[in-house]
Amino acid sequence: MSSYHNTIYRYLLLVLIPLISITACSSDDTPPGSDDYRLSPGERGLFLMNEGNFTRGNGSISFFSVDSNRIVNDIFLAANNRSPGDVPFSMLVRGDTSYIVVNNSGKIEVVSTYSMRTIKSVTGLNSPRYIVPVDDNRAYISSLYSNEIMVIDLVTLAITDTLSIGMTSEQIVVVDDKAFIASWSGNNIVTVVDIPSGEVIDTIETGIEPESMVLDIDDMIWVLCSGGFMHQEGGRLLRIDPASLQVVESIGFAQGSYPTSLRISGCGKHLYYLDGAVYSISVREPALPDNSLIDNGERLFYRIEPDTDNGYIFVSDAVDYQRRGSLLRYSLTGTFIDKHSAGIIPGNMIIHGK
Amino acid sequence: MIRSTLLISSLIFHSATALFSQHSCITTGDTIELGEVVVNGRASVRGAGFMKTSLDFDIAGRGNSTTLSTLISSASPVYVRSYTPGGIASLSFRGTGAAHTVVTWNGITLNNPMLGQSDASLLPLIAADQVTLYHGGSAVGAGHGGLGGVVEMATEPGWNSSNHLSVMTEAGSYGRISTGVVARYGSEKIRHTTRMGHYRAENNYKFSSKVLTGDLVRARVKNASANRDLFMQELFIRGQRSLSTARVWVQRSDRNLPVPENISPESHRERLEENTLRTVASHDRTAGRATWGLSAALNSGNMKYSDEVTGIISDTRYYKAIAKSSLLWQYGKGRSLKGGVVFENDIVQSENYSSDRSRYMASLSLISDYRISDRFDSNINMVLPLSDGDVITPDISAGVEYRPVRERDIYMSGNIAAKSRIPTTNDLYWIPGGNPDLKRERAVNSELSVAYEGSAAMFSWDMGCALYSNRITDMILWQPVNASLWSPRNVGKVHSRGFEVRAVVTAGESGRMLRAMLSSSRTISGTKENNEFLQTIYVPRNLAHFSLSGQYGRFSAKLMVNHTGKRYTDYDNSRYLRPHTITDIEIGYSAELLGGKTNLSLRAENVLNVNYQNVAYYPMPPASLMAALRWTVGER
Repeated sequence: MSSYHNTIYRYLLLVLIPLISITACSSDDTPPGSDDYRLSPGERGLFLMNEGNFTRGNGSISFFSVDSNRIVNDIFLAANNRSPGDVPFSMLVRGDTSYIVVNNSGKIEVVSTYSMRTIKSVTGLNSPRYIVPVDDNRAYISSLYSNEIMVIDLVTLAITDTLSIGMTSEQIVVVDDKAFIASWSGNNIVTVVDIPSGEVIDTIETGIEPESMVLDIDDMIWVLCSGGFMHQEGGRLLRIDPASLQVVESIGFAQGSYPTSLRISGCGKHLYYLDGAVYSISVREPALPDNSLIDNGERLFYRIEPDTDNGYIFVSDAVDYQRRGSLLRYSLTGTFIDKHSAGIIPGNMIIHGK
Repeated sequence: MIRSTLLISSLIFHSATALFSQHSCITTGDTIELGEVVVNGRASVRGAGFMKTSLDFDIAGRGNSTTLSTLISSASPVYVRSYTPGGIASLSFRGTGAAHTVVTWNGITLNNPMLGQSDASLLPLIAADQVTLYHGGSAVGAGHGGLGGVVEMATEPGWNSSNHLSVMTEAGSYGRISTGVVARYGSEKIRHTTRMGHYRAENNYKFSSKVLTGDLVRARVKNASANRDLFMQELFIRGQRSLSTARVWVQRSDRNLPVPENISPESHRERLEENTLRTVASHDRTAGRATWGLSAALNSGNMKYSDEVTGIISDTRYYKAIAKSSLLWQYGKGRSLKGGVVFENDIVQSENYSSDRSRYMASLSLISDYRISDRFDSNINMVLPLSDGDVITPDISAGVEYRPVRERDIYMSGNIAAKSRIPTTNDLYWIPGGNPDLKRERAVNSELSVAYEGSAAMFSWDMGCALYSNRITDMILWQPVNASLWSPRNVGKVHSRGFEVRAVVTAGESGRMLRAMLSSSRTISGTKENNEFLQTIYVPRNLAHFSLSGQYGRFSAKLMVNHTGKRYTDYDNSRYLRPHTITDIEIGYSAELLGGKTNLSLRAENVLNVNYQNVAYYPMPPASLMAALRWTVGER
């Protein structure tokens, strides 16, 4: 064999050996979940819904313990060896059972609150957003795309009914036997449903895109309208009397504003919302504040959750919607306390243990 | 957040069809330029200092079901990010993004001006006679904007072949049916080529998943059918010193876009229809040492996207006109100068723009080939873009090639290039968020390569390897301005480096032949953040393709092994798709039938039934079969 051929064969070997080495490498496709999650019934903290990127299925759930001052990420993954799905959006905690609404997977993961292990996956839902109990056994499930509210039996976990409200739905607030359902996406309506009959009894016009609602100490409903995805108008904060079904207070934001994430203190006297920074308003003397409570600086505040019983305001920082975000903790006066690394696009927070 | 992502993803999903170039290259696919060498069936194509690779169609199969996506993912270092069979497939060349790989057809850039990228699954190989990869710096002379490289599809007149007719039909698992016809006919002075194809696939294969509920379930892919119809007519007229061509390519496609496995199938029902018309006419004439050429092209397209569930509907039309001229002067052996000018006009009609958008672009180019000695060649390419009257920094590349052994075809090459890419019309005009103040993206590319071609006794070989580095700055990234608004900015930086290895060894001749092909690459691409290097998502560090094909009399057989390394799916590299290796086997038999040559082949795909994904949560097909029948009368 000529020296040229020998050279060729040596060359081929040099190529094939690293190729075989490369091919032999293999590993898992998901990050290891944490097995540190053990929640006791009275433990103070909050669940954090990391939405993840739309359609990428990289959402996750974290738990921050106020008692131990540490965050545990990927608690669903660790407990079930799979991700919760695409866009885990909100969560209802009822004692030892919790209901995780996974928006773009069209399902609700019913889990043990203390182990995070799945009890049942309720699938086939159309873009669910929030699950809100309306009586001891039933809850309403809102939908981003559907004009129907799904009714779920919280014991049997069966969908028992659907209520046609004629438009899509977002947040739900229950006052006595009425459910106030905000129609957020592209709409400007709060629909009032009589819970016993399931009938729509009225609609209340709001500003564009009522994004969030809370109930205050005086049993008044506050509705925060973002002004529209395309910034069609400035935001608007409304107070609705659930008895008369009338708007009794309307506060307009400046054009170009985009207020979101309305929350209320445990005592029901102070509203908190995001408009870039964090702002606070007294429900008894409502007026737009001149100054923010917490300045966002370079951060991209995405959701807030006041934990006034423990003296904190939690803010999620989505960074750039690509990297892992953070959970930021502030005092009630807006002083920064600490920061904890969370998942991608940390969103809604659900307080656990008072 | 979800709705903004919906709008942006609809923008991304629904504009994946081909369009016209932003800056076309000066050369034409059927040029009569002296000195241009078109090599088919060989692995690499020499260009002084630059790496080009001609892909062998036989590796992927020549049926109408085969697309550019199939070929590239079987035989090249370019990574194809395909969602599902027949679904959107984008190309990543040397660790860059889909918008940094330019695809051309007979000199026209097919990248969509709205997105800047092309969908390789809509480019059937029946529309081309050869596919050439222009790696890294060589892209300056091949297609503007290819910061990673250029994929060139070209058709040929076939002056040296007799009239022939080729009819092919295929049928395979999960409802794949395809028919195609290619006819070449005419005289020594006038040639015609007619190509027609129809392809349909249900893509309703089964897969196993425990993502949605935690229980392992067998599910079937829904809403994934794809249809594609193609008609192409070409006319070539040659005179004593001239060549005139006219080409028309009409294509319509419609497909349903399946949801990922982690999403309820009821949550979306997306459909994408894309119709395109591409026409090119050119005239080239030689006088003494000079060759001048004129060409004009017109392209139009229409894309309709709809989602029955969300109610999102998008209807987009685009038009592009191109006029170009060139002059080549050969002043010695291996020495030439070529100058050219290109004018282009893009018109895009989109509901997501405030009004119809039109932009004019022009560029001047100069290409110099200079043979320093019989073993030393050099090449300089310069393209000076002129946009809306403003002179912009030129794209420039320079390469040298040296043959260290006079009697051997061993080539040592090096090149350096500075390139740019203009923003897409979506980057500039999309509402909300479009940023008309964006600058061009910039890249600096360098490469060293060695190649060796030769033959001895019954063997022939063509092999080479390249080391490269590519730094992109001012990269356009869409970033959040606030909770509801995203806008593109020139803020990204990516550094890619790696190596590519390719070897083709053939033993024997036609009738009794054995051929082995190996293509392997390693790509480190990404950014450094807090002293930690983060690999770009969906850029595999390792890619390898191996094929072994043989022919003995009427029988043929082929083994193809494709390995794709780990691909990160999250920016922080915490989640990834595991590596996979897919094996295909094909056997064939040829016979004379009805006055023509008939070839029957049976291909078993993914024979080891590997469960794999190219995009997270989009399962790819399990083991499947495809049968093909081809009847050819006349010589090809």
